[in-house]
Amino acid sequence: MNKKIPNFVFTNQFGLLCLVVTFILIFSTVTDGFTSRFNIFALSRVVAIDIMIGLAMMVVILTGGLNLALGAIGVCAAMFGGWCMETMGIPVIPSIFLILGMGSFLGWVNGMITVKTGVHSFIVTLATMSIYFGLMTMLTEAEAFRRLPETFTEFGSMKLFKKYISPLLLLSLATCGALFYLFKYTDIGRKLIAAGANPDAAELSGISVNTMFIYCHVLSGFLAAMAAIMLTTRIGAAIPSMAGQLGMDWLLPAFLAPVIGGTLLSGGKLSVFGTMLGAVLVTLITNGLYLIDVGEFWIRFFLGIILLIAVLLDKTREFFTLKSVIVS
Amino acid sequence: MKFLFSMITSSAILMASGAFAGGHSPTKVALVPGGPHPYFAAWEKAGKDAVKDFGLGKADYKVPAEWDLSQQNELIESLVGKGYNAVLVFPGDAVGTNKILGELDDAGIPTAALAGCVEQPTKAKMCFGTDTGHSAYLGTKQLIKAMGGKGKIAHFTGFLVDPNTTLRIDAVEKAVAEAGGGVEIIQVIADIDAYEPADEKINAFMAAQGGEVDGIVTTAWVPAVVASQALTNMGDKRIKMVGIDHDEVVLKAIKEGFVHGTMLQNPYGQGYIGSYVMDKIRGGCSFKASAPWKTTAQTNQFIDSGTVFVDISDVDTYVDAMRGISLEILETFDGTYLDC
Repeated sequence: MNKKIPNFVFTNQFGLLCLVVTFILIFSTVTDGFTSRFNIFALSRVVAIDIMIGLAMMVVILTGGLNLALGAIGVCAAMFGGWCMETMGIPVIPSIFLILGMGSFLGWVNGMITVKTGVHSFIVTLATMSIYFGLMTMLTEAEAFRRLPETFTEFGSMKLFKKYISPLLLLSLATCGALFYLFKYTDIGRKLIAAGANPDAAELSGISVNTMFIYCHVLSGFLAAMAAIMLTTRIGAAIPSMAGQLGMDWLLPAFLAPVIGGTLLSGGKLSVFGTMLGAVLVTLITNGLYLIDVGEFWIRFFLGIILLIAVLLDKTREFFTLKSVIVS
Repeated sequence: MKFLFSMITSSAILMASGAFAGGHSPTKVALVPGGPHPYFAAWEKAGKDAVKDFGLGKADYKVPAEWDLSQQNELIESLVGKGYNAVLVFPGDAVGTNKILGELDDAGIPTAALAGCVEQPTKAKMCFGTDTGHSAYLGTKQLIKAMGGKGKIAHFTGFLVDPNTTLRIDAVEKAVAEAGGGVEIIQVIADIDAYEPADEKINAFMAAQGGEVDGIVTTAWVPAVVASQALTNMGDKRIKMVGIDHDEVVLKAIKEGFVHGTMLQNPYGQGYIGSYVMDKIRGGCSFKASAPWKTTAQTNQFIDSGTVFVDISDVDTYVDAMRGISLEILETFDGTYLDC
């Protein structure tokens, strides 16, 4: 009987997809304006950024670590980009590469400190979060870069598919596809997973675990910079407070998306599409609760509850992870 | 692939069932502050009164959970998705907020900056707020008068990143300079418009220099509350103080004689008149080319929402004072600013 049912039906991602569809149906029915073009466009833009933030955390969780400096890296990269474009007059495309380079570099610093000291990345990134943000504040004197080229900022306002969808969402989906390919079909991707799943075994089989961990942090910094670029195009300026104090406003979506999506907090198993669906689910719920007129302060409460449930499910999943696929 | 197919199908269903709210429906105003702060609480009643008095569809006060531009943007977008067709906003960022205001304008939704301005160029129809420098100047004048024209004063004020703070500091200095040398500013404490730093710094100041100071002027909400509490706790009626805004703690201290008076801003009027103006604009009115805009550091489309000094003689009727200012502005607003 089970042979006729596709394996996908038994995966965490299928459950998430069902939840997403269920919430879409519920909010479409009980709220005003959920299906309005304006709302769908706004949703597509928010979810695009949340997916990218979730992916940035996911690649570090893969190592069994955390990147609390995610928001700080994003803000630093965005501010650096603002300085490049506004102060130095560097054209948009080279500036984008410089922003991504800055994010990758800050991620590399996190990775180097983590592997060289042996201190858990939770502590390392807690420290670098303050260091990065503090340095950025000192260097910029907390002054925003508000006169960025229109060719850059207009990307965040562009509307595709009869003005329903932001191109930012396509960028996030493309990134998901690239990461899926990386982890599923490339040698380096398999090594990254192996290093996260069982560092000792990976080391014995000839994989340089430390190098793999550094790669994960570099990738995390790169993706955080991508998220920062998207957010900067969305608000039209590079602002020190764009991710909250110390960049901490990114932490909740950063944890929610991968953990709900099935990435194990203990490392070694990730789900790119799960992370994407996790971000979609969280954004949908947030948007729907806004529309239902649940008090704004309750939304944080609900997101906290969701994270707690997701972490409990994560513990349950650990028992079954050996039986499941490593990348999905 | 099935997953992708499902996602595409879901999106298609959403698109097919989409119906974008627009047209000339009754005006539904969203009043959105930058984050939680007691100053904005009066917007809630102002919105309700505007609905009642001007026949608006809605005028609801919606607070982002935190002082965060992204959260404010997300909240505004969801409100528009829900059918609100006019937005009054305290800018989460003087420039960053312009992006969403531009997008709302493109969607035919009028907006205005309330209680704080966005920098030009902007699609906001106006900036309607307190002339903070003028308010600080008048408050300091009242303080100097209460001190008998001589003595040492301390100035407690708001966030340094708030452009209003510089204006307030300058205005207090101007009023002191005009006192003719009898008055001296011995301390300016800024960046304390939050309870923890305000409590720490103001109480430390009072402990160290409370005996030397003769007057206190506060030009931000939280420092006014904390300074009023400090004077009340000390039981000190020697030090004269002029506060700002209408927190219950400040009003009680005025009644008990520990605080000389307070400079009321007009958040109620901002919400009330702002909602009215949004309805007018949706109804086809526009601002006159000859409108007597004031100019600030951020905009040249500023309208002063008014300020008034309240002391023990009229503290019980301060609501009337606020309403009085609002009605005064409202009576002449159409003729002065609008082309209908």
